[in-house]
Amino acid sequence: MKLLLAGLFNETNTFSPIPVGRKAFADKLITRTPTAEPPVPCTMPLHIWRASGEAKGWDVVDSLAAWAQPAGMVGRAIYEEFRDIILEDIAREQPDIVMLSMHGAMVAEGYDDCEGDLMARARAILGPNAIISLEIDPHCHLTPKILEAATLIVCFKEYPHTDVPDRAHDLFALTVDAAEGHTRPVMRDFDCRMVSMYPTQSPVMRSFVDDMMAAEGQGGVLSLSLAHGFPYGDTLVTGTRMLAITDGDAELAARVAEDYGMRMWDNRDALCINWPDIDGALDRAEGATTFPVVLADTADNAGGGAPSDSTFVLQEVLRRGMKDVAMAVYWDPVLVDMCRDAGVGARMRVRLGGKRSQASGDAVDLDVTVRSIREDMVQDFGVVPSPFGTGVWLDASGVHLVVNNSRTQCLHPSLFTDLGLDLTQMKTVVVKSSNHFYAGFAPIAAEVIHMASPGTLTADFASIPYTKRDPDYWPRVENPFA
Amino acid sequence: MKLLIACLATETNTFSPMPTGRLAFEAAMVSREATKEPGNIFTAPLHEWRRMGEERGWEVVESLSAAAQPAGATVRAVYEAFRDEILGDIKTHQPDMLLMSMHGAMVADGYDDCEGDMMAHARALMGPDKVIGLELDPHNHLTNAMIENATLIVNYKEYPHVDAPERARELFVMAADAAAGKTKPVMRSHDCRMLTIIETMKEPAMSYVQDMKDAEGKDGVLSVSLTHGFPWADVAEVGARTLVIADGDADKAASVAKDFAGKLWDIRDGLRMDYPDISAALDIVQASNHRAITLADMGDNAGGGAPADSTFFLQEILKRGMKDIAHGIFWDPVLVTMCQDAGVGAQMKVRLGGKICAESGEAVDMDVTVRAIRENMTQKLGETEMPMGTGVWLDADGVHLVISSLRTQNFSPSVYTDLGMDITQMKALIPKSTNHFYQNFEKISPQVIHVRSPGTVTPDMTIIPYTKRDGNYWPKVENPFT
Repeated sequence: MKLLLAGLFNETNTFSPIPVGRKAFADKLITRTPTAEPPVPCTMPLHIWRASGEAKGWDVVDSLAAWAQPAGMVGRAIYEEFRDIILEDIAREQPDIVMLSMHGAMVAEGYDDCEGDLMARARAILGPNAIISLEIDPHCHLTPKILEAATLIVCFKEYPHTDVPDRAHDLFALTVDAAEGHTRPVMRDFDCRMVSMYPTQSPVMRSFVDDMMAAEGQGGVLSLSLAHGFPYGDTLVTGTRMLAITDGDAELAARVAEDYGMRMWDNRDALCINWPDIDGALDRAEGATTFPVVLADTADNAGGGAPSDSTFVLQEVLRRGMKDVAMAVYWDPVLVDMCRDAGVGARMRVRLGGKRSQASGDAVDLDVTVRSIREDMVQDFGVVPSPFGTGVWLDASGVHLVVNNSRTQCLHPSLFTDLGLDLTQMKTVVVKSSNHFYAGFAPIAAEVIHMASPGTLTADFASIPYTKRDPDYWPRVENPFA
Repeated sequence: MKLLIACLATETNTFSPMPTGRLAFEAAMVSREATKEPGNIFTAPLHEWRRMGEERGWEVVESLSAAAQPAGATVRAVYEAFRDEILGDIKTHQPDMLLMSMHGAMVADGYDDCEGDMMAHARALMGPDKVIGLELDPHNHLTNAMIENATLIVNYKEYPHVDAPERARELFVMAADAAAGKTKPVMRSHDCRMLTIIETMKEPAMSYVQDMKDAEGKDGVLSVSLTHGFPWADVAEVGARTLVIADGDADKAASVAKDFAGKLWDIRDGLRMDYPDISAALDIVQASNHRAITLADMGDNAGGGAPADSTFFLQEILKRGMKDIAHGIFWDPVLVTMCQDAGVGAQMKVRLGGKICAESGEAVDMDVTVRAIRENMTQKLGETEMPMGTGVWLDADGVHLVISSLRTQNFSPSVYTDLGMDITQMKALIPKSTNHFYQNFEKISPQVIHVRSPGTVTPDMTIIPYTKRDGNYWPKVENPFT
């Protein structure tokens, strides 16, 4: 058996002002030898598949892996270049199996569905009998083209995405069974007609995920995935879809997909995002008696394509005169360089935030002390460290701000503590992240509050200005099934 | 006779957002044997003092020489370490005489008057009778702490500062006379209540300098200095002052100092900088039939420590709806990278300028087309190729903006033509530069206008936002003596 591995990973916020080109990928990862290098979240599956494949005595070939921090539209030329490298490798190597780690919500100029485009071309090269397996992020657009071209699709089940390796193992086992003729996978999906975010720590989602896992391997059901959808991509199919894979039984797959999909629909009131605004959240933080209270600035999440330099929360924290507040992370490579030149201990007047777009808000001028600087930082995330670049801790009279030079969301308290900032001394911790922060921060938080902040990633899903998908989805309409 | 010599010098623009840390000094000069190295403006006096001291058979002890390029306030710990190193040498060597070369406008975090602080500490160690001689740049803030603690202070008389060695020799002779008991120097200064740029190679300042020289060595007057003042510093003593050293006669020193202050007041109309403001300059462009008129955005000159991203000109151009304007160079490495990712031809919403400090003004949001990108660009200053990194031409509907990845002033119109712009079709070219632009732009422009724009190095003495001195100075008020 010959197995070819590739990874092409970018979540595209089509409303983000930050374009994605070669430099954005080069800043994170472009490699022809992904399994020869330390794993990052999107290459972790490739490492697992190589080890698993070699254990079975298969011939395993690396193709390209590339990822960029989520931002706006991907340039057409760079997408086509990466795609064609992978396709050329497939054509030359003629593998029996292709396993891909992709995001599922990558949009390039001229390609609303990069994953579907790549896989349809791979299928055309390999013919109908080869196995094409795909592991994707649940924040994907599950398109008919992807479903038609792929043999097997598995989404991460957890959000925060802490189960990337587990799902890679699942997909490998499913792939082996199909390749060896033990199963004949057939996939069907169901459109839930919903657009929202679904943190899996909520009780409803916890039992939904647990039930999906319990049902797998029972009664002909091979795999279940919930494609949460990525609300900030303007595509024809944006939204939540349920995917079922069964062994040869299309009707069963369709029925199970509908059952689980309607269960999401039936639970919509409990799933409805009902976060306080900044004022409401800061009121709660100021009224707290146990600390630290962790607040998520969900709209300025770099992981969803935001600039990670909005000042809406900072301005309100300063207006209220709050102290013992730690905030992260402001993306500002120029300010990082200025702080490096000034050195630890320097007191400076800095202009922070508000630098990338209207969604960044207005810049804030602050007198700060440079408390620490650290190069080549990483954050813990699941089992794989996530690169953070150079971090700087600025102290503005008790408001502690972390600035870095590599745009990324806040994933773990280690980003503060590695700079020497003791979170046990903080009353309030504000992190720019939608939900991935939860895995790392919940254990140290007295309370966690998601804020419906203004910015690139609004939590007001009814108001997202889609031009391509129809408006017949909840919560824009009360009952899209009516 | 034991002479200790030292140098600690940098000119501090307190409005500049770039703090001066240890790296800035190390990049210029940190040495304990400056007299064995080629001299620069600040160490040339030490070369003179060592030579003259050794000729007289004195023991010459060399302490630290530390100098940095002009920028923002020096980091407190960096200043204190340099100061304490020199004081440590004074304590160890117990010299009979101290001669120091300093700037006179060095501000560190917590020290508005580094030179006064240095002199006070040195005097405390050396006792009341030892000779302390201080040579300063005329762009200094002449403070009581300097005058009370130094025995002798001499400023360079010329701007451009071509006379540092000559003044060093004069100071040495006066110090030797005082140490030998031949003279009893007494210093008095007089506040001119004026603040302007005084070019001594031109009249009326040229004759003023000659008058100072003519007064020296007669009627008990040992030395006459003019402190021009360094306008871009928010300190209490900023402004022009005369300084006279007389032999034992304080009244004489005071009256001569007052006379020279009166002489400066009398020639003020010849010293007035009559630049139009932005609005008046754009009026000239709009009324003219000429093309390619050059307007210098003097207030945002990177060569003087400015960020090169102020938006005062840009906002007024957009407000007036002017077209066919070329303006640069905006420093924004992050935006350059975003444009590289987007590629030539991309249409983007960008936030430009206003990112580094309060003197940058407010950021401007614009819809632009990326017209050209070029790496490793240079521009000529005289015969020297000055680097500007990657340049980007953004077209905001007829307002053409050049962005660069390196912070530099705009020396040459070649920046625009190298990116493919036809500058003969522009109504106006607006380089961010004080005067270095002149040579290259003058060749292609029918009219060159220096503009007193706001910013970190604004030449408009009436709008510098002082918080520590009063506003009672010419030209902010026409007669500060009423």
